[in-house]
Amino acid sequence: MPANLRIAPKVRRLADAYDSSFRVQGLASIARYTLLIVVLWSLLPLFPAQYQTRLANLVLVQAIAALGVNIILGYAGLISIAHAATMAIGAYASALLMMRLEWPFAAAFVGACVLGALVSAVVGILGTRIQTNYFLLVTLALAGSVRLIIVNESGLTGGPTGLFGVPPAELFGWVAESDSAFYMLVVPIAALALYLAQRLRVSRTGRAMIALRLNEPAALMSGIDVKRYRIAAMALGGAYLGASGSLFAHLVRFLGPESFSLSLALLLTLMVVVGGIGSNAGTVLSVAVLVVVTAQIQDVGNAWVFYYGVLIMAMLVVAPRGLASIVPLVRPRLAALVGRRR
Amino acid sequence: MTEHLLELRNVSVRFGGLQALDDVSLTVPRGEIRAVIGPNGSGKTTLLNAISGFVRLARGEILLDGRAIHRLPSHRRVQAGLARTFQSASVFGELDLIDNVRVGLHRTDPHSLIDAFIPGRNERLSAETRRTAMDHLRAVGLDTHAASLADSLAYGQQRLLDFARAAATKPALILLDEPTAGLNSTEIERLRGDIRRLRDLNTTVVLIEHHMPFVMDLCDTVTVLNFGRVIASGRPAEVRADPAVVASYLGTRGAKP
Repeated sequence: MPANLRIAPKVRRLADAYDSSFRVQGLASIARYTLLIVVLWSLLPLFPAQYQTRLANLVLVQAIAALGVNIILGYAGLISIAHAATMAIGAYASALLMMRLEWPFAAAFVGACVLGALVSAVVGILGTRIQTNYFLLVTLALAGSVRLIIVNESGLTGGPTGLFGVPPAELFGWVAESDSAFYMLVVPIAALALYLAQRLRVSRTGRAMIALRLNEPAALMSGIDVKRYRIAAMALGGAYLGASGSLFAHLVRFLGPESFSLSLALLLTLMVVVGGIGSNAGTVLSVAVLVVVTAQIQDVGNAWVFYYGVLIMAMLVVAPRGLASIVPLVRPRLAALVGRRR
Repeated sequence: MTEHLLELRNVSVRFGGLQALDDVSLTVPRGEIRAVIGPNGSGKTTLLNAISGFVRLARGEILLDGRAIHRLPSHRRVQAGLARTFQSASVFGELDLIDNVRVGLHRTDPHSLIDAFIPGRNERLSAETRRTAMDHLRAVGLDTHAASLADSLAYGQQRLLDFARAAATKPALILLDEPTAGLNSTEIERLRGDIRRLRDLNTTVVLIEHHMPFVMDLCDTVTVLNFGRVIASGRPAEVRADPAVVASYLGTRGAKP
């Protein structure tokens, strides 16, 4: 028997082991996110009242939107103020598909994602035809038009008085009418959103987006079609915003022109900046902090804007690159603390 | 396959009233290391910008491997086999060194968006590109810093990283804008070896350089620009002896003031 034939099975075995090691890594990452879902689910009984459950739901719904903004702003570096408008498109689409066309929730939810992606991609196509500085103006145009449509097309949207009676989310006959039931539904969706965003970040596509934000000439000279990746970021971010809008509609079950104001778009941008541009975990953390803090300081009336401003300034002084930048600073100190206790 | 990999025909670039490149024609044979020298403001960087698509031509054509590229956007020129580094350190500061080079692998990386979401497949493809990236880092001596952020590197190291990223695109033609600026003598030695190795892998090199010993030793041919025009072109020794070049750029040691 020639020597190379005897070696061949060994090489095959090595190659198989090599491949399966990655399969194990891949399964491990799925296991981590499953664990995250289970842990979040098991927190539900710890919420003392419906109010806290509602707050948790709002955190998760806004976290999905903020993850989308992180793709647009944090990965690709596009400054847009159409985020709230894209959410509104997802919200009204999802609500109306269920109310008018009697689509099941799952189909309406997917419809909202697709529509959000499409509209956002069109804004991206228009915006990348002109200089980057004017991109913002194109997104402002979308924000303005969506608002006008909501206010004026009262036959469809309920106009200024709003859209009442949005049906609750349901899945195969199970209706998420209460906040607790909605929480069970939104946790896996948010975990999936985080998983996909993290995967995107370490993919060739995500890397190309981040590269073009950090250094456009060097990205171009690496063969990256900068315009195409900007449009792709808008489309993917748009799908997240559409998803968030749909969930918001079936959580609050009322939609009005004020639900998706310009200040929501700014708030979402702020969440990404506070979390640390490009960091998904930082973004989710900052959504949780900002939503809860906002809810706490609403007792002080309009003065909450003031506290908000102070918070942002403190943030920019302490950690100008966002919450995510604190982690590597804190980690060795925490490790040292734990080590000392042992 | 044409004999000349790069050919510029009557290329002119104008910035308002300034004629940055004035009717420049030149050819670079396949496999050559070509230096472009000249005083500051003579149009050297503009020449690289014209070839790589960062400035628009007022007149003329640029051919890469016989194919007109002067109307293509920059990223399409890269697909046609062009790469370049930049005059100032041009890295992706918030990415680690491995990822910086992996951006350079963008064109050849088979990773699709769908692959990224398939557990296991993503890890295996990533491991492959990481290994290739590591080879490119080793070539410039930065493999020991592979996991550091590009921001944290010294200036000279950032320039070497930019070189590694450009080399990773597997170019037919690489343009280097003052590759030795900011490098110490050890790094310059290593870079000289890296450029020769690239050439041995069938990459044609065009570089702008002020470091004359480096140019004289490394380059096959030297082209001299002054006021946007080619004033001389030839073997290093010939160019060094050319009176017009001496007068405009090189100067003479101990010449009368």
